[in-house]
Parts: sequence; C-alpha cells; structure tokens
Amino acid sequence: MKGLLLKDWYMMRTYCRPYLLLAVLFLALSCVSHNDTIFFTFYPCLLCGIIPINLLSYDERSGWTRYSGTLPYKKSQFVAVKYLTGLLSLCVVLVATAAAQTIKMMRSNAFSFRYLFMVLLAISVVTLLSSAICLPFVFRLGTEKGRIISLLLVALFFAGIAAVPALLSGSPIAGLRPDVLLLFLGLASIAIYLFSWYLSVLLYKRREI
Amino acid sequence: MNAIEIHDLTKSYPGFTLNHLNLSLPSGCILGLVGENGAGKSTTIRLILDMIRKDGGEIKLFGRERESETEMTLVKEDIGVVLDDVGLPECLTAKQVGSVMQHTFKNWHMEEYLRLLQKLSLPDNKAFKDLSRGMKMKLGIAIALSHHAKLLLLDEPTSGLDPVVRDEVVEMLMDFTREEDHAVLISSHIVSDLEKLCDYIAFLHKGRLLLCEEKDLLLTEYGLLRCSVEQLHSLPKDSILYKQENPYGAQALLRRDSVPDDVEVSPISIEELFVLMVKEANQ
Repeated sequence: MKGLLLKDWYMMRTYCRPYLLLAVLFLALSCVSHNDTIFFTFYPCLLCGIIPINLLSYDERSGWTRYSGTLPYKKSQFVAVKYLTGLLSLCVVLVATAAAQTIKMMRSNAFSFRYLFMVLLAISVVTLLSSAICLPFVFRLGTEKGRIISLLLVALFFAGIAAVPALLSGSPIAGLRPDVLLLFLGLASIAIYLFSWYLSVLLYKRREI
Repeated sequence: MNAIEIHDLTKSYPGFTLNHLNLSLPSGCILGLVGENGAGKSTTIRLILDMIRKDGGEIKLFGRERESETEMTLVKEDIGVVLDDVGLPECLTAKQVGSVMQHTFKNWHMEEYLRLLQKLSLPDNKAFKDLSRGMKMKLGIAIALSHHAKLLLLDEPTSGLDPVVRDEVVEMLMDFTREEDHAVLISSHIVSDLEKLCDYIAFLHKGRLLLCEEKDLLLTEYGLLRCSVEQLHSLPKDSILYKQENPYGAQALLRRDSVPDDVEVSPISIEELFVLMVKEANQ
C-alpha cells in the first residue's frame, strides 16, 4: 500500500498547492480578523474534505483507476489509501488551525484551551462527516455521478443537523452542555467515518473497473 | 505448463457477449489476439486480471485457478500489463513512477527500469502528460518489464505508434520470450505486428473465437485463390471457406488440404485471412 500512498502524495504535491495557499490565507485571515467569524476557520477544513474525492477524480481521468486493477493490490487497499489521505489532510488542517487559533487568542490575551478544543472538534466533525457521506457514492458510482449525489446528501445532512436543536427543544439532550454534545458528535463522526470506510470497501469490490 | 488456460469464458454486457471463449497460451510463446474494435479483446484481458467478474467459465493462470482476491494479488506480481491508454497519473514523472512501483512490486528491479528508460530514450523528469503517445507506451512497457514478470498482457500496445517505435516494441517483446517460462498475450488490430511476433494467433469477432492456431500452421493450412467464376464453381464446396465473385473473376479463401493438387493456391497473410474470416462470419 506504500506505493499507492506515495502516488497520492506526489499527486497532492502537484494538485493541492492552490488548496494549501488558500488554507494558509484563510487561517491567516482568521488570525488577524477581529470578528469571531467562523468562515475563515472552517473553510480550510472544507477544502481538506474534498482532497480524497479530487484525487479519485484525477485517478479516473488519467485511467489510473483501471490501470491500478492490474497491480498487485486489493481493492480494500485502494479504498484505505483515500480514507487515510483524508485523515492525514485533516491532521494537517487541525495542526494549522490550532496554531492560527492560538496566535489569535494570545494576541487578545484570552487563550482558552476549552475553546480551542471545541473548534478543532467541530472542524473534525465537519470534515469527517462530509467525507464519510461522499466517498461511498464516489467509490460505487465514479466521481461524476457520485459527487453530485453526495453533495446533495451532504447539504441535506447538514441542513438536518441545523434543524436538530429545534427538533430536540424540550428533550433531555437539549439540556446537555454544547461541549459535551460536540464531544458526542465527534465520537459519532469517527464511528460514521469508519462505517463509511467499510461500506466503500464493499461497494468498490462490487464495482467493475 | 500453460501460462493461461481459458475454458468456456462468458461475459455479457447489454449489446455484447463474450461467448464461451476457449484459449491456451503455453509458456515461452506469444499469442496474438486479433479482432476489430469491440470484438472482446480488452474484455478478455480484464477478465484474466479479475478486473471484471466473469459470468461463467474458468481461467487458470500458471496452471492454477485463482480462488481469492489475495491469491490473485500474488499472481499479479508475476504479470506485467500495458493497457491501451497506459493509465499512469498525468503529473508523475518516470522517476516518480519508478518509486511508486518499487513500493508496489516485491520483485521490482530499479536498475533494470532505469536501464530501460535510458535504452528507450525516456526522460525521467518529464510529467507523463507531456510525453508523446509513443513515449507513454514505452514507459508502460518499461514498467511491465522491470519486475521479473513471467506473463505480459498487452492491450493494443502498438496502436498509434510510428513504425520505428513499433519495431522497437516488437524487438523488446521478442527478447522477453527468449526465457522459456515467459509468455505474452498481445491484443491488436494491427495484424502485421502480430504476424512478425506471434507463435499463436486467435481471431475474435463479436465476442466469438473464430480460430486459435499456431501461426505457421495457419499459413500452411489456408490459402487464397484468385480465379475465374467457372473455375471456382468446379472446386469441392467444402474446401471453400469464403468466396467473393464479381464480373471480372472470383477470390476465395480455401483450406489447402481439400483442394485438388493442380489448383494453384497463393499464400495468404494473417491480415487477409482475418478479414476474409470476419466476412465469412458476417454472412
């Protein structure tokens, strides 16, 4: 599997440079911005979430998806590489966001580890869930069809999440502290990501390449 | 031992069926799979590599039918493949491709790969997308020849190449089969290349195997007769496989052993034989 990871690393070095520049720019803006805007903070994680799907798209366009079927790899290894690439990208974004948020809080003498933890957790939840929803469709249907369906589902999913507070008002869950709720969401998103990985392996094994 | 044995292989798509294909490729030999576009050549290669699921039949590689994905993965260590579009990532250089393959194949031979890059005048620092069609194909062949493969599966490796590069490719494949446990299955619709290269020829037409025989036997077994319509009609009917008549005369594909000795039958090229057999199959 090392060969596949190395290939994706070479591809990321070429194709993801603009993403890196944008992420650095937005994180820098989040550092200097006086408003508590979450857009600059969360934009890099959205970019990071689409990296595995973009790599799959380049693979399809170059014919690598078909060629890779001739190499001594299992289909589960192809899937694993994309999920690992997503996790590695998330780690990079988390480290960069942590640095940017720390600088921002230090500048205003209001460093809060709890706040930093919550921001990083929220970023992880958004990235993991968006990838977890998209990747099985992309592995089964290819990037063209899969991306359209998965984008619709991601939009529906996050609209559903936004509606949750209204739906849960009055229930015991509504009384939970936001950080506890976020922690619960974090654990749930890890479980969903792992299930999505398993599902992608099953679906990709059924796909003829 | 046979490098490939295929029995009753069947695969159906809407509008196409690979119909009970039977083929064998002995080690040390080159088998040319000839067919028009859409005849089933690529489907056969993809089935051999388990890239698509067969509907029926049996495929044995190096004498064994693969039973699991793990087993197939091990078998693929011994198979070098070149697809018609090669399929390498566009941004990778030949040097980077070498590093990827070094971590892919257990038996990767980096020195041999670098030697082939040099021999084939391939730049090691140019992105794959910037290479010409011929260079891309040569890079695909260099990869296939750099991990001690025992079997090469080549899907249209010479299409779109200029004659000089095609000749180089043909020479490399001939070198490869000098080892007696090496075998090559090559598909192409450029029959002249296969005629130079192959020990066995198989004709595929609309998913059906028209014939599979030793090339030299084919050339002695079949012949072409150009004669008058009357002369053609005087021949035994079972000796004529295909005939074309026009006001100026007739042309027929014949089985030499069933033609009277006094009839002068011309030698036939593999390309002529293929074209006439396809016409006969279409009748």
